[in-house]
Amino acid sequence: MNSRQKYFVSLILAIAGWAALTQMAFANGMHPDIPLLDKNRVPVVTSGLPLSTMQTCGGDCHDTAYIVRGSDHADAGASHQQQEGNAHRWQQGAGYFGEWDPLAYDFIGPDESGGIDLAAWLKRYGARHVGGGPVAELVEMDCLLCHTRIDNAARESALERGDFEWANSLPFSTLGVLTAEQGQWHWNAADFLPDGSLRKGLLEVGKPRDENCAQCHGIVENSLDDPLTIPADIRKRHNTERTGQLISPQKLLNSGLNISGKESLNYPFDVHSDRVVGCVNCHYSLNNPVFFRQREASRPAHLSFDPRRMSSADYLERPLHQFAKGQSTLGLAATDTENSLRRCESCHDANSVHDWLPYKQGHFASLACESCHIPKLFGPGLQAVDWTMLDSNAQPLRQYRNVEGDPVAADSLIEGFQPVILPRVDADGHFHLAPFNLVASWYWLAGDPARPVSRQQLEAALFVDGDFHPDLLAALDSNGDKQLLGAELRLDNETALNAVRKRLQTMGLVDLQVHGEVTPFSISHNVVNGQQAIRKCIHCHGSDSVLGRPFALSEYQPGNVQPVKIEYPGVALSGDIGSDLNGAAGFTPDNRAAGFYVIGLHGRKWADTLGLLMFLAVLAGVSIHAVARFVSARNRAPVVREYERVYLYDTYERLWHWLQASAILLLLFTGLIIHKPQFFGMFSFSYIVSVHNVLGFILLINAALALFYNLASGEIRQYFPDPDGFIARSMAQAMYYSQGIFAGKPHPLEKTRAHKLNPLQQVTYLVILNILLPAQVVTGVLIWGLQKWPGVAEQLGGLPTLALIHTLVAWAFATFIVMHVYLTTTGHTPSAGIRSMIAGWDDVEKHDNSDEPNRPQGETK
Amino acid sequence: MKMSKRQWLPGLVAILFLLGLPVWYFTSVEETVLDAPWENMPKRAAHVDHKDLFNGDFKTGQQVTAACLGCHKEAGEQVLHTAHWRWQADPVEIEGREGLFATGKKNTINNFCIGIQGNWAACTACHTGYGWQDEKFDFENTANIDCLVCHDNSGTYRKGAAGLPLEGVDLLAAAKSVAVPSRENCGGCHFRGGGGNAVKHGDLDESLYYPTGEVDVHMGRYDFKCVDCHQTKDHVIGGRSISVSVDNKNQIACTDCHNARLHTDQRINAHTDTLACQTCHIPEVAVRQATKTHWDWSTAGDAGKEEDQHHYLKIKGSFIYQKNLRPEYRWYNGLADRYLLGDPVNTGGSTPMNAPKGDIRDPDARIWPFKIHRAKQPYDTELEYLLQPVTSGKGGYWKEFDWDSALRLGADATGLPYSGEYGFAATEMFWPQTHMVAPKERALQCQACHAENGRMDWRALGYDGDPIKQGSQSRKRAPGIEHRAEGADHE
Repeated sequence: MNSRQKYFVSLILAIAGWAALTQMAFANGMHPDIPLLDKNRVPVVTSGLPLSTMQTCGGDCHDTAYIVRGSDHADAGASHQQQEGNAHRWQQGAGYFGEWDPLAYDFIGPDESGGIDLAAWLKRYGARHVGGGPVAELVEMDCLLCHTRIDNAARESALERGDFEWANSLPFSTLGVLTAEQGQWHWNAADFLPDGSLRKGLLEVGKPRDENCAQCHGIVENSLDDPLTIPADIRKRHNTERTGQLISPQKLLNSGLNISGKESLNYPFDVHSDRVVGCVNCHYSLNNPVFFRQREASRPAHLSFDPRRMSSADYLERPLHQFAKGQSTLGLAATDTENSLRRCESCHDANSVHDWLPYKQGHFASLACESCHIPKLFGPGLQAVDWTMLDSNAQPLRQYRNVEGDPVAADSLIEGFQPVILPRVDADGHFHLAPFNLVASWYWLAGDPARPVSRQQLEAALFVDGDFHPDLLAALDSNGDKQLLGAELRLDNETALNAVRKRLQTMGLVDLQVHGEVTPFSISHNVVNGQQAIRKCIHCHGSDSVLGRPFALSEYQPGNVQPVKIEYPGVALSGDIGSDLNGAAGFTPDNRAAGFYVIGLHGRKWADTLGLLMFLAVLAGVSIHAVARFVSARNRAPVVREYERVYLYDTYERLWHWLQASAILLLLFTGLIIHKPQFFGMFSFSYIVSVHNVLGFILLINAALALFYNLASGEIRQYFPDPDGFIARSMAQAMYYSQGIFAGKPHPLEKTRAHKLNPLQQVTYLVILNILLPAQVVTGVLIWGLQKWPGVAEQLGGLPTLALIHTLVAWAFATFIVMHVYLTTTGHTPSAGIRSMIAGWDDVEKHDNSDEPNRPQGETK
Repeated sequence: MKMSKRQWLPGLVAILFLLGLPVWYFTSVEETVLDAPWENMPKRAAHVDHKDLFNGDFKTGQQVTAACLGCHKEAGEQVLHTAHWRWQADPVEIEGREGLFATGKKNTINNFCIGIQGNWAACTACHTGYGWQDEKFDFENTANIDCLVCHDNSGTYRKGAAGLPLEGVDLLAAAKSVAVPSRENCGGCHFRGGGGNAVKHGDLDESLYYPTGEVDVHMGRYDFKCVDCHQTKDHVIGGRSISVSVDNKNQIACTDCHNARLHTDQRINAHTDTLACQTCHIPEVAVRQATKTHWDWSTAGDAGKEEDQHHYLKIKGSFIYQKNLRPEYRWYNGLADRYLLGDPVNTGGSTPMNAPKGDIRDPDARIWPFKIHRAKQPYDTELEYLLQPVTSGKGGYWKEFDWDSALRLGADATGLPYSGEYGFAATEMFWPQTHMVAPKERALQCQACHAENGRMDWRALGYDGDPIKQGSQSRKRAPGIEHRAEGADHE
């Protein structure tokens, strides 16, 4: 070999070595090469029979019987079959086996024995079922599906064909290990070692990768180098269809999707995927010694961690194939493992990184992390599925959220959609607001008891030799092009509806009616980190709150039937379904029934109406009074009086007054912004809240200091009405405002340094200082303190009560200020009152000490 | 009653003060500035227009130099001390060797065209001087300095053999155009290292004359010139590369302008103890044009083989070029070892020409991206060291295709004995990648290294395995690195 050859040989060896290494990375190099055995424990290469996974993986190594027995994926809810308590009467369970949902739709009717026709079920659902469990007799649980990288397409098509015997073996055909000869499958001996195992490197066995999960659960693209696109096969988009979730570490701007404004979306679709957190890191085997946690129910109170673990050997022999999971509305009905998953807070300490968030604890108590950290979904999530009519490909009419056009087409513009926020029952039994997608669906019901018209019946009724029945064309083809496309297919008018109904009736179907419903799907993937999470208060706190904004359900309603809410465990569909004038259906969330009160969204309208009326009434009253004063003053001769200068207000009193006045005005202004943030978009909501809080404390401290001053100096006595002659003096003052002032009469009561307040003022201030101010301060402090002592606020009625009182009292203060400012003008000159409060000195009417009490009031009420 | 200003103004001030101060104090949020690179960028000085300063009829480059030095009196002396002139650094110690070593292009070899000794005239076309054609060149003579190669801004100045201006170059026009060095001045030599565009560096090629932001964020998106980073003092240009230097004095770093911990993500900031900025921010090099990654001299001289400058040339042998090259990763503390003439060759494997120093225990080392150029080049099978052939010169391999004669001539030039027996040995040369910084949205993400089949060979780097799962205890045991409790990584 010359050096040149050597060079290239070494290069090839290096590449081969690298390739071997990468294989090892998946297989860890730990799993031995094992003979592929048939059901009789004979190597398949010898017997020529199909592979038996139970025998191949079982025997001395893994306890396959245990694995199948514990596997929710194999059981698929079969052991939880029930006739009652299902979302639909015609369901036979809540799990994948026997369940019915309007997205998958197919209805596998009972066989003669009353059970499910297993072969029919397997043909239809087998592609998304691992085998074993209820269909163990037909197809074994396929270990290779999750533990190898073998392409699974051959298994899927074999199951669809009904070739159950060879289904689990057929993926080997993609490796060239299995070939068809004269209609018979044949194992190629050349690929096997003498002990019946495959040549090195052909079969790599390892822990499930995200791509394994993706085969059934939705779109995963873990490569950073292959831009993410949407696969055309709808089965590969399962959870993506239901929720819009896309699991990928790719940054949105590097993806292959036509996302609107993507160049600025410099963050990954899913931060966990980005951070190399794989599916099985959260959805781990429940007896995996690395993750095992004792369930709360069986944990002694004194133990937070039980250090006794299974050995790796024990685990490898009997790995429990129940996986930690959250709670999904349409799960496998694996109720034993509901909420066994670690939640966000099991790994994350939200408390330490949310100091910027006002009312941190309040938000944590009400919101699931996902509500802010899953702001938008970019996958093609369904909005509606309409089975009342099929398109020319015999598919139901599907609408997708915020995707313009075909969701699979590369040029469809994706806007992304904000999920609807609904109360979710969490592991702790409490409601938290969490993101959901809602899918509306419509379908025909027939018979008694009513059942969905099956896909087969629909196809038979609608199509003749693959084309639409002529009656349908006649009724629906509005542009006469002999095709039914787009809106023509929608049964949103009587003609179209009746045409389809007639066709179905010819199939012998009776009692036909269109039924619509709404299915919620919880969203917990596609998490973004803090920089991209929702941080703007206005997102929820305002009239355009995402918590109250209508969530589109469909552009039309087949048969003009409004969809109904179906009860699913784990979610409260609190809100109303409605439609607009164009027939479009939507869901308007309203979480108040579930006990949520959202500032800025759930405010009581009557409180503002009442407050505004009070304010306007007083404003109108003083205006009329002012005009009357003005007119009467012009119609009479000026009164000349003697005045003397009196020092009424000392420096501290004036400072106190103006500080309080400024604080109250600013509090009213900032409070208004907080109350109606949608009208004040130019202000930062959270900043204004902070300012409001600081001002509130200034007011409180200023009030406390003033109280001390008045107590210490004895000035407080001025605020107490003197019972002696109180009624008479009050009447005198009232008469002055209602009559005397127009006649130019002198003020009825003397105003001196020791008697600054008239009886009406004394009463007013008693109310303000003893009721309104304390109420405002207490409610304000409690609202501010919600994040510190939520318990106290809760006992006092919580935010709904506190916020209501705070708002009403604010209106009262605003009203008081109008009155207060107006009455300052009732001195001897209109500006005298204000001047005296600035300078301290006032010109007071000189008076003799006769019966008629006199002297001006610079300031009143 | 009359009020004077004196009465209400202090009150107003007091109120504003009493309200404003607490509001300001309690609502002010400290804005932490994570990164302010522009504050560290010196302003480009306006250059004096030299258009009217020359009127002579320049016949030679030296005449232009004389004119320059007439005004810039210190410049000549300054240039005499630069690596661009001497092609040799100041003597420094090399760890693991006795004595001081002044290394540089002048006296060391690489695994591209190997060495300049005996090949002077061809190599010194890129020398900042005139007339270096043999070992007798006078490095103390300022008259032979080439000012124009760096300062010509006319774009028409070209040099040929021994660094002399080519026939027909308008020296007067070049002289009138002089200014701060442009991308073309630097790129003329540095983008074409190794004998052609994009051959040598991987991260430097002619796509950087007018790059988009995708190719190089500094030069493309922000219009940097080379000298914005490679700042110059007394004609000594900042920056160092271990292709010729062994120390890291006068080095340039990202952190000259950028804050070392500028990421909002704590996890990413923690990586800066371990990774060079370049590691994540240069996901690939040779972005527009393929660079040479393999060169096999042993196949040269085959007249029957089809020639193509990216695969085979009779004079040079066979090559592999790669575009969008993913760097390889090694620990590197800024220093490098250096293969010096006469050093033993590793006949059992590959001989590194300039192995970067540092390992997982070295607190100053970071994992860096490298282009590793792998070659087969002639060595003395008896004496077991690499040989330096004469290739371009008289009687050189490129004319005669006779290795024995080329190596004998080379031995005469270098003074290193040649036994007469030669073979070809595998060598590696390390090129730290630091240009072609990608825009931040293209920076590496976790999965690039921490997923299966990631970029890092963790065990080769000294880790127990992917530190995301195995922890990074071996790094933490390094002296000078903050020690954290064992197992803390697993929490």
